[in-house]
Amino acid sequence: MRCRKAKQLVSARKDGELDAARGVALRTHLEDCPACQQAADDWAGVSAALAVLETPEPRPGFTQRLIVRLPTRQIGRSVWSEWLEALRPAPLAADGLALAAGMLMAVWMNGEQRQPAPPPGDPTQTVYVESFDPLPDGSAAAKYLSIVTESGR
Amino acid sequence: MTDRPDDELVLAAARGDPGAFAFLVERHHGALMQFVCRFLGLADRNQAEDLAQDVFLAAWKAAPTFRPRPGVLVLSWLLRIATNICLNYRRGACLRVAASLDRDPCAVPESADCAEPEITALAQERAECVRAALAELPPMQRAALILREYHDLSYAEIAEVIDTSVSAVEALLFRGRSRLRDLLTAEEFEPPPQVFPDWRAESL
Repeated sequence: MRCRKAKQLVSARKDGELDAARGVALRTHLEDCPACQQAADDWAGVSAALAVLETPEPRPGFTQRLIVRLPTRQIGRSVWSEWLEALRPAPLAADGLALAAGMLMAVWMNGEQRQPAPPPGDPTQTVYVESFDPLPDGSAAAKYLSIVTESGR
Repeated sequence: MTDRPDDELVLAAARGDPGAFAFLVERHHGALMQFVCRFLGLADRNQAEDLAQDVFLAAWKAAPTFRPRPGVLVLSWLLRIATNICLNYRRGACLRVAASLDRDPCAVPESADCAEPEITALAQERAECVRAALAELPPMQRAALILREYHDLSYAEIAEVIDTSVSAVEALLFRGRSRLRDLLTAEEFEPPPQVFPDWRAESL
């Protein structure tokens, strides 16, 4: 094992992150290497130096100041999003649903346009006949036709 | 509510519950404030607090995408957000590094001034040296070292925060410690005996 690697392992051992196999290899190296034995003191010294810094604390009211800055979350929108996302993996099902709805609508509208059947009555008696008279009374054509008919007699 | 685990509070926040989020903030604002201060070497407590608030605002916005995973702390998730915000902040060239000669209110509380001025001055000087040395480290080494030394995170948790492997964390910590040792001079390196009586006695 090289000294650089051994010092790295000493650093890991200080943090409690050295597994047993590498621990054995490190111990073997350290038995014959005073320079690497010094590494443990070095790393402990670095930790001690870092501990000099005081722990900064937020001022009182930190949380209250933060909470008033939170943007409102759109809960309803997320519910819709979840619903739409639930449909997204099955586009064929959604298409089929839309097609079925369209067919139902078409059948319903067709039914609305149909007239109800007339009530059954006497087939020999005409109740109402709608006819188109091309020469209605009072029109010039009707007057002309009456003159021609009388002169022909 | 105060006993609820962190991940439940984040999920409640994702549903729009600011009360649950407030508990989460109360639980972790000290750690995030500390991280921001250490990582950026900020000399201005208000600035550090603003950034810590930005971290929580980003966490509130990101809460709907949070998915709890076994073995992954919510604190790691928050620290990851904090790391990204700190890196963006540095890119904005607004950093006042610890090498500044201004007195750092993060380092020594106001109330300490009246106790023993000589010891206070010495502690301030030592703290400034340490912050200057920390600021010299590359960001990844600095983040790994801060997360290990101040937040006591495991290598796996650090790897989660800075998005790397456990073996890379081990190497980062080794390189960071080596660089810090070299940066700190012998007399700065020697801690005051009344504060750290046992550090050199630590056995192999």
